[in-house]
Order: sequence, then C-alpha cells, then structure tokens
Amino acid sequence: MSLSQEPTFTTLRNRFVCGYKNIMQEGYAGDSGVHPIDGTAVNTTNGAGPHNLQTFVMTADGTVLHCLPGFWNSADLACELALAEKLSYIWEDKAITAAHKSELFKRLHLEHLATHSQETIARSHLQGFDAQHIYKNRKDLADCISDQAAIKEVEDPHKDLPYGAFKTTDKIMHERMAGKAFACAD
Amino acid sequence: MLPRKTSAAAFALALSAWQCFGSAAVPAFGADSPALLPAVLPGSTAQTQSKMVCSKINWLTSLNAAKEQAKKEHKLIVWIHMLGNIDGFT
Repeated sequence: MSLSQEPTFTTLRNRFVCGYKNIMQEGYAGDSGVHPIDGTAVNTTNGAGPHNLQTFVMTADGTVLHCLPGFWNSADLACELALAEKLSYIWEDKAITAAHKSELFKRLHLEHLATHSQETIARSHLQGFDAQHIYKNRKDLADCISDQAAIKEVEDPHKDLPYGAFKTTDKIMHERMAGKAFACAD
Repeated sequence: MLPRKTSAAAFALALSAWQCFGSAAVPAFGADSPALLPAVLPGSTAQTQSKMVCSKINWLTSLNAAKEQAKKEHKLIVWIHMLGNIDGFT
C-alpha cells in the first residue's frame, strides 16, 4: 500500500534500485495471517509488523543508511528515503573523515527525528501488544521507555499500562539508527 | 507472537532496529487522530496497485545484482525483507 502511493512510488522507480527477499524461512521472521492478492489492504501504524517486513536503504557498496522496521505510511516513508539520500552524500564525500561521518550520521538521524510532524508521531504510536511486550521485557528494552517512573508504578499491565510512558516507534527507530553509523549489510 | 532469535545471516543492524516489538502488523483501529484513521483499500484497488508496483518497478531478488546495478546507475538501493513475495499471496 505504501509503495504504490506518491511520492514514494515515483521516487522508488526513478531514484532507487529495488529488491526484496522473502524471509518466510528465516528464524527471525514473524507469523502473519493470510493475505490474498485481491484482499483488502488496511493502513496501520508506523513500525507495525517489524518481524514481517524490514526496509533497508543502502549504498551500492552495501553500506546501510537506514533501516525501517515494519509498515510505514507512504508520506513518512518518502521522508525517510530523503534522509537516506542526504546520508549517502556524507558517505560518498571523501573529504570527510570516518569519525566525522559517524558524527554526522548520528546528528542527521536525530535532527530528522526532531522534524517529524505531529501527524507522523501520531502514526507512530506503539500498538497495544507491542507495549505489553516492551513492558514484559522492560529491562532489556529500556531504550523504548520514556518514563521509567510511570512504568514502575504499574500494578496490572493489562489494565493500567501507561502508553504515554513508551517512546513512539519513529523515535525508537531513529535513536537506534543513530548508534549504527554506516554499518555494512554483509 | 513473541520475537524469535535471528539467524546469524540476518543483518545485525536490522535486528537491533526492529527487535523491540512483539507483534505482527494489524490495522490501527480506534485511534482519535485523523492521521490514524484506517484507510481501507478495496481488494480490487489493492490488487491494481500491487500489480503496478510489481510491473513498473524492477524488483531484483539478488542483493549482489542490486549492488551492481546501483553502482552502474549511481543509485541507492531499497532492499526489503518481507514475509511473502512482492507479487503474490502472503
């Protein structure tokens, strides 16, 4: 659904080499219901279905500029592709040192996050069971929580989980990417 | 569904980016914001759009081939890991 919408569709068609891998046999792949070709398509939240879909943007030498887990709204995806293009200019610039490139990579991801619109942020809220999963694994996934105090006060996570205490998926993604400067895909 | 451990062959970067979640994608019903209202495409429209994405974009299935083409055409690569095939039933 996102790939066929403009401006993403034309951007992909004209400015990117596109490819895919069916991960059905991979251990990290999730489960999914049946989706026939002529079935209805439904919009969902950014980052939903992260085990079923991962979108990488990389340079011709396999350097990863961006990784988007799960579904992304088409307009939001287009913005992320634009960020990846900016990052590629940094990567290709021979005048910039490796250390400075890493610093710029981090800065651009975080600056881009700061420009996300309220609509993008609203589309990036965690789904209920993802919040439950993070709560259950809160020690390992502490970077997904924005308000630890609120999480500590939870008595029954099935009734009073404070969804506002979790970061949105766009924030989690960019903060994690910021720490993965120009990683190699291989 | 709980997350599974990834195979060593998977991109470590991707692992760190996505493995905070436990779900498969589901419709975002029940939201207050218009940004979250579920947009439902009828099956016929979805099929038409899916065919367009498949036919108008040349989807490669080899990352090495994608790298070669990207080098030749001075482009970046969008490489998607997905459950199912780009042109088919998932």
